[in-house]
Amino acid sequence: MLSISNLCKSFGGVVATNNVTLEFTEGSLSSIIGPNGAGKTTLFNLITGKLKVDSGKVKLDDEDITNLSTRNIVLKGISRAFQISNIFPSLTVKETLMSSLMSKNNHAEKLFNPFHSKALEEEADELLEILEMKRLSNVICSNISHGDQKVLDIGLALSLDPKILMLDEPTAGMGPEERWKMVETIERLWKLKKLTLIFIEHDMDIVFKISQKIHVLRYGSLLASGSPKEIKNNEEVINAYLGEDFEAI
Amino acid sequence: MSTFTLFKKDISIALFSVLFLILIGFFVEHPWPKDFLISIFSFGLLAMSLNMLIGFAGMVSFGHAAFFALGGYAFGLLLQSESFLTNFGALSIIVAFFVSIFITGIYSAVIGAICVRLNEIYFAFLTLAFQMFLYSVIVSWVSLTGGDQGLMGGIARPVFLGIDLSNSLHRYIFCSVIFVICILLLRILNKSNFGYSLRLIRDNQERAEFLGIRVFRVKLICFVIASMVASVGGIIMTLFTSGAYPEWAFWTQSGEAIFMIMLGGISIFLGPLVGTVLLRLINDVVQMYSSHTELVTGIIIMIVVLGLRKGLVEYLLEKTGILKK
Repeated sequence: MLSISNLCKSFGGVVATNNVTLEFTEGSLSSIIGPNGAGKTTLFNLITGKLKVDSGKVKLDDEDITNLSTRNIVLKGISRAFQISNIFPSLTVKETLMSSLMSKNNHAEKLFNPFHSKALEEEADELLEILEMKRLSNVICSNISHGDQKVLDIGLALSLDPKILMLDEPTAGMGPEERWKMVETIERLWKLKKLTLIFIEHDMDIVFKISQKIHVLRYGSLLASGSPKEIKNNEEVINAYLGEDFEAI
Repeated sequence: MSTFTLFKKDISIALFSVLFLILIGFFVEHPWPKDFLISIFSFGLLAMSLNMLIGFAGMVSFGHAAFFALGGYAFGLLLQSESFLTNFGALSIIVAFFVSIFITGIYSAVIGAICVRLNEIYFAFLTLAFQMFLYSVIVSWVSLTGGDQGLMGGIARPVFLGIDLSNSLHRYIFCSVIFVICILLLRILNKSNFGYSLRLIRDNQERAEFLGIRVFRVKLICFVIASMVASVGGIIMTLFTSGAYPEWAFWTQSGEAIFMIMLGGISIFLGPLVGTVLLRLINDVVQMYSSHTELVTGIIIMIVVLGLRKGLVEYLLEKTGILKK
């Protein structure tokens, strides 16, 4: 279980995260929503060690992981995918996955071990199968479609064998059809790997369809937390974010 | 599987190259090809090791020749020291060889620990600053280094294991073996797990960090290894010229190494080596007819950079369809 308590972060005079307390139970699928600038990505950055926390605590299974280095947080089992697909333009899809598997196996600093080994390739093939990307194995990452890059980005996070997977706007920049395919992929991976999944999303149809729990942020503070039903009927959330005429599925 | 079996192909190519180079040594009477090749071994290692930083890891250093010079000076100074020679006797050359590389390794670890924290232009300029620092030390510490005259008076080359480095054939074979070993080492590093960690950092440092790569550590190791290989280049040059010169530590030497890389191509493993051969050839040929060598090399580099927009090797491989765009 991932829990954060009284988390604060400010940049100069701007308070980006203001006393946020949240819990993500094991195996849950939760989403974080809120208007632009609400501090969603900042919250991700604080949890994953990209930014240093001003005050407050981040705990994973009762172990304090506040302000650990990115690498140590990854080793503890929290990995993330990025808002803008964030991959390695000169490697092929398979090499990219092999690289991250190599890092997971703690072989990244072996000077004389050949990278192209059978064991690693097999491991990558398995992952390609799960991601349904086998057909793209040998394509250079910068030549695959935006949607595939996003899936690959998630695949990279997944290759580290995380307990908790954090996705920052997994469907950003996709057409409607591609979006729902992505949602299916995410749900499938979540069930298959028994992950605790947290995602940031702007598409309310998706959010209300798949989330078990929704957390709403505004101006860096937590506005509301609850099941889709509770959030849908929450006056404050409707006024602040969803709008009066919001009709979710 | 051991490293040996998996790099069988590269190791065989290396063995054949050594054999080929040795044959040249035995069958070519004229001294020019051997002298030319020794300068290629030396500057080739400088360019190839610099490409480990630029091409493999995306760290554009403007101060790489400092380590070339340091290796050369350390080696030369050790072999000029009476007490060193009496202590190690016949083994002097071997000990001086490894000690010089080791000294460069330590020095580059200190410089690297400061520099590799920075990226892009900041990294480039800091490495340049440290190179100029070393240059100033060499030029002003006249009693040790001979200042701008360079390390004069020749270096001792005691015979070891039947190898006499004052004999030009022995020296040539010795240098070619060392050269090929270093290139093979770079090749193995390029194809190894470590090489792929460098690619990750080159392509996307932030994402690499989120894959659990220890970016600082990997970059520092890369910096130190590249510097040590560059120092071997300097050692070869010192053996060849029987001295060491402050120009090796001047920034233009680093600039020349970058030219070599640009000329040959950054993305092909042996590109920088081809660039070295080309640049040295241009240099030697132009020198026969005119004293304006820099003007001519400058124009040729401009043609390559503006006309091809890539290295010559990359261009040719793409033209022939071996390398896909």
